[in-house]
This record gives sequence, C-alpha cells and structure tokens, in this order.
Amino acid sequence: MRSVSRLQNNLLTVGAILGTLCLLVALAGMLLGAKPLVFRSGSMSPSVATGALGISLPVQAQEIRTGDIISVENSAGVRITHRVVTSELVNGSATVTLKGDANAVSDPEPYVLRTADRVAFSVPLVGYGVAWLSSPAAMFAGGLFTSFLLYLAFGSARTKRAEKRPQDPDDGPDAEPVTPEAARPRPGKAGRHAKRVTAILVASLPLVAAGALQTSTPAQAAFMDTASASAGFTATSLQAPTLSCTNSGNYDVTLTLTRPEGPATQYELTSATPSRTWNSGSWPTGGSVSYTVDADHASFTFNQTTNVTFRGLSKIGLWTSPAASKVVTYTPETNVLITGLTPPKLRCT
Amino acid sequence: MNFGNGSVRLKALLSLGMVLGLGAVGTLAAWTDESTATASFSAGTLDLKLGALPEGPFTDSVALTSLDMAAMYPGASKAGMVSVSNSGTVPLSYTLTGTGTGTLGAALKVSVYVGGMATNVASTGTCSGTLLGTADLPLAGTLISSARTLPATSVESLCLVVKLPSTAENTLQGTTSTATFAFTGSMGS
Repeated sequence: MRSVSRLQNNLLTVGAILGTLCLLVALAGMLLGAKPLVFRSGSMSPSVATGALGISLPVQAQEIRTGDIISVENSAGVRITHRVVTSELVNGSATVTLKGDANAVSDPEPYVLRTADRVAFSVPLVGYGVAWLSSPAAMFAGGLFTSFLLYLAFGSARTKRAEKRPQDPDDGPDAEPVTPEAARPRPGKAGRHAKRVTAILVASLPLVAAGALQTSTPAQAAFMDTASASAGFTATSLQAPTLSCTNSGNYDVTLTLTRPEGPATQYELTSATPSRTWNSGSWPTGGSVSYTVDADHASFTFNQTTNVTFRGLSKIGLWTSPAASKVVTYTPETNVLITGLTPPKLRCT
Repeated sequence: MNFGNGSVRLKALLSLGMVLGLGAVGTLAAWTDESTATASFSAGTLDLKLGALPEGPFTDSVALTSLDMAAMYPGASKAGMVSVSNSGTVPLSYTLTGTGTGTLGAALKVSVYVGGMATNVASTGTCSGTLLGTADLPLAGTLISSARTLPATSVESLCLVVKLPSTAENTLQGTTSTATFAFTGSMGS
C-alpha cells in the first residue's frame, strides 16, 4: 500500500507544480494576448524549422519593424508567418511585405495591418508534439491513461485497502485534518477520497491539454518558387519606296512610286515647297502607283525657275518610312516677244 | 512519507486551477481563431518549372524561341506555347507577371490562353485555348492575376499571344525588347 501511496503523492506533486505553471502561463497569455503558432512548413528555416512552436504577442502597426517575424492571414485565409521585408505606415495601418527566410522571393501580396502577431520566440520540434496531442491517437492514449488512473484510484486501492487497513500506517496522517475525531472511526477515507479526486484531475490533464492546444493556430506555408520564360522581339524598320520621274508630254511630269519590301500598307506622295500631299492611298496589288503632276496646278506660285522636291513615303499605322525624293524643275509662264506666251512647265532632272 | 492533509488539499486545488486555466485558454483561443490544427506537416518540396514543350525538358529558365518575333510592325502578333510544370511533391498555385525591356517592351500587349494550340499565319498569331482574364494586357504587369492551381507532378500548357498594337508609335521602328515572363508558385490553396 505504501508504494501506491507514494506514487499517488508523487503524481499529486507533479500535478500541483504543472498546475501552478499552467495557471500562471495561461493567465499571462490571456492578459498579453499570446497565441501559439505551429509551423507547418520550412519557409522560415533555418531560423524557424518545420515543426517548431512559436508564441506570438500582439503589436500595433507602428511597432512593426523590418526583420520582425509576424503572423498574418492572407486573402485566402491561410495563416502566414514570415519576416518583414518592408513596412510602410500610413494613418496607423502598416502596409507590410513579408518574405520567408527560405524563399527566394517575397510573398505576392502586401498585407495591410492595424495590429499583427509578432513571434516572441519559438521552440524547435514542440509543434509536432502540440499537433500530435490533438490527433485521435493522442486522445485515445489520454483516455487509456485516464482509465488506468481511475482504476488505480477506485478499483485496486479500495479492494487492497479493505484487506490491509489494519496494518496500514499511512492512513492516519492522511486523514481529514479538520475533524480528526470524526474521521477516526473511518480512518483515511476522506484523505483517500481527496487523493482519488486529485488523481482523476491529474489523469484528465492530457485530455484538457489536448483540447486547449487543439486550437493552436497552424502557421502555414508559402514556400515559394519562381521560374521564368523569355522571348525576344524586334520591331522592323519601314523601308523607303522607290520614286521615279518621267516627263509627261511637253509640260507635265509623271511620278511613279514602287512599294518596298516590308509590311507597309499605305503610300504617300508629298512635297515640302509647295506644302502639299499630292496623292495617297493603299498600295495596290501590283505594287506601284503613278501620278501625273500638272504644271498648271495652282500650288505652283513661283515666278522664277525653281527646283521642287517630291517625296515618296511608305506607311503603316503611325509608322512612316524614310522618304524617297525626286527633284523636278518648275519653269513659270514666260512671255517672249517672238514666240509668244509659253505655259509653265515641269521637267524631270 | 508523511503528507499533511493541508498539503493534499493545496495540491488538489492547484491541480484544479490547472484544469480551469487550460480550459479557459482553450475557450479563449476558440473564439480568437476558429481554424483547427490539422497537423499535416509539409515535408514536401515546391518546385515550379517551365518547358517550351509539354513533354519537357523543364527548367527554371526557358527561352521561348517559338514566341520570338524578328520583324514586328503595328498590328503584328506572335503566338507561342509554354508548359508550366509542378515538379514538386505538393500542390501549388501560380501567377504570372511580365516585364519587357525598352520602349518596345512598354508597348507590347499579351493575351494568355490555357490549353489549345498556337497558330502563326504570316504575321498574325492566334491561340485556340481559353482566354484567361482580359485580352491584350500590357506586357509589363500582371498577366495571370487569378492564381491557377497545379497538382503535384502535373503540367499545364499555356498559349501566349504577343502583339504590337496598330497604334504603336513611329519611334518604335527598329527597336528591340526582351520579354520576361515570371511565374511565381506558392504552396497551399
């Protein structure tokens, strides 16, 4: 009987120490807003490895510093615990970019936060234990353990005690202290009862602990990887069309534009002086366009012989090719005494 | 081994406090965050790779020569295929952003299709797949904004059409650009 008693007392002592610790930690946690985080991936390794348990404390946006490890939920509702790369404070909310230490790139989305859970410290591997506690196997083990302690408290103790009561020296001191006289007729019963209750409470600890830790927030994810594809693009340059000149009759010229190689779809025949677009349109199927310039045209207002530069252009969209040019001599109307009035004329050079 | 009754009672009370404390924490945590620890640790690897052909080879950096275009002009376009491979052991989701060098890179427009085939007739490229998002997005920017999921060891074919719009500026004649398509894969949903 003494050995069972010793075991019970030892359990009680351990339970009492753990109980005090739990109570203090739980109280402190509640007061400080601490949150347990289980790291489910290695995106923060080597500083925080997979399976670590982190404890976070809430901080205000303005207290977030570059290099802090903070825990946030992304737009998909997945909790991400990564290191702060940049933090910008605007009107009390911080726009934060996070990056896992093991990741080559930052998280794709910036997070806008008023408060954040900053990881105060982390303990390697404990997260596995916390996660295991909430598994069905751990629940089952806890149940078995409880049953075993219940059996020790009620089953074996009572039967053995009934046989050995007269010889048991421990019963007296363990009895109810307030009324020793009243307790004496049934020695040790109240004391044993107190022990049994305590044993049950100690035995139920794993279950309660598992229940409490089941709500630990999983700090997931965001391992990232990038890959890139590249392609080269070159824009073509439009080529100038060819421009040729032939005299048309005695007074006019015919300018012929021939389409160059390339994608151009439009042509244009212009001159700078006089400033005029003589002809324009889509390149025809044959690829060349002829236009006869009449020397009588009102644009020609020169009163002496002048060189006129015609320009041929090839175009597509807003793109224009370099110009092909041709110089044509314009001779104004002359009135010579013998030959009489001579009309103006254009001649190719 | 003489344990006093006061000691027993104190220990019992302390143990009771422990249960109460843990119970309170549990209840509090449940209110703060309703997600549950599913204890699925990811020892897996995340590995996003690209290939020019659906059968690979897949690498972290691929030159899409089928998308190259040497003589672009306003209205010209080119279509090319790229295969995205999840070469890791966990599902991933990926997004795509593009960048392009030079003024030509700023002018190019991209349409992204999933599946289908690239067809290039003369200087017009077309894709037969399903258009993702909006057509003719600026090359320099987000090209796939709604992340696409890719199960482990699977491959998805994308068809890209790169176009120089018909309103391209005259100054772009003769310029060159290298377009880079950056695929970012992340773990999870």
